[in-house]
Amino acid sequence: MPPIVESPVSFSQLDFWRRTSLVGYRFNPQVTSWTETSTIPAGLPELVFAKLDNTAWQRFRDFSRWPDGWAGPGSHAIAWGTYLNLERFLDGSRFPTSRTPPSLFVSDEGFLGLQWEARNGTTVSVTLHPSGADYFIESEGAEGTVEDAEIPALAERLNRTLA
Amino acid sequence: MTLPDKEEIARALCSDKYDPTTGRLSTSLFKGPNTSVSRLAVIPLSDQWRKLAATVQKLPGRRLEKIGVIGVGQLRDIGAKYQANNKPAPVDIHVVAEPVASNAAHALIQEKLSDGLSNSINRALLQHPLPTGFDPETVPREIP
Repeated sequence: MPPIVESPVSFSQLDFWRRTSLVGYRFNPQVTSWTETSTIPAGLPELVFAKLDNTAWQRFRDFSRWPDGWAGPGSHAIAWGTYLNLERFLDGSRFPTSRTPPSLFVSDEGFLGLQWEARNGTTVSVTLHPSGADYFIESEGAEGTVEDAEIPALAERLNRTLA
Repeated sequence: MTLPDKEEIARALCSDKYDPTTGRLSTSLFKGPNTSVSRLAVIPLSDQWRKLAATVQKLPGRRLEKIGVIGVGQLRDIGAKYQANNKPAPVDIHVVAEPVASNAAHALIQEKLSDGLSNSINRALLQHPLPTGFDPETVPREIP
């Protein structure tokens, strides 16, 4: 597992994120609580790119900038614990390069979802949140929740099941 | 007011829960609780585009990509027949009218649903792409 720096990203990293903004990305002056200073584990953006490829990395970069209230009252920015658990999961995951990489989503609560297809085309989803992960494996009719300490085992289970 | 089975509801498919590169819909799309939808009986689909674009695109990067439509009766039927972990796990789904200032057609799916059940609803959703020439980015945003 890569080292985790429990501190805000550095100014140079923030500058990198600003300079590499998506083409056409525009600041909305109506959003007053813009949080570009969200804390992200230092190695996570690189891990997202390495495991999930460019599309998910760009979406990750977008989602990580969204403040509390991004989908209306009751919606939340992504929490530090959610980032940590995404890092735990990705660190132990292997996705076949011959298939379409997983998609990255964000829920209204600020949880990060990964979703892809098993070999038979059925859906697999894992939702990372601050206290663990929810999973759904359509081919097994299985769904449930694991605590954060069990996330590496969940990743290994999915590697074995879906390889 | 609980909506009758014959009504159809629209769910905005935005970039946070729809990946336009892969076409995948997130299993959190209907997870809720209190998932916002819009009634086609009050505002027809042709007029939903501007309404939803104005209300869901609260910040740059969150873009209306499609609209998904499903019947209330079909939704409730999927909930009633749902199985989780290979055992019957029926959910009695309720859709209630909840008009708000920005959308008289607003309604809520009240229950919190599992990823698996939300995925089953995703599969039944009729997805409508953006109408030709319609750019949601040009719609003025309504931020409460």
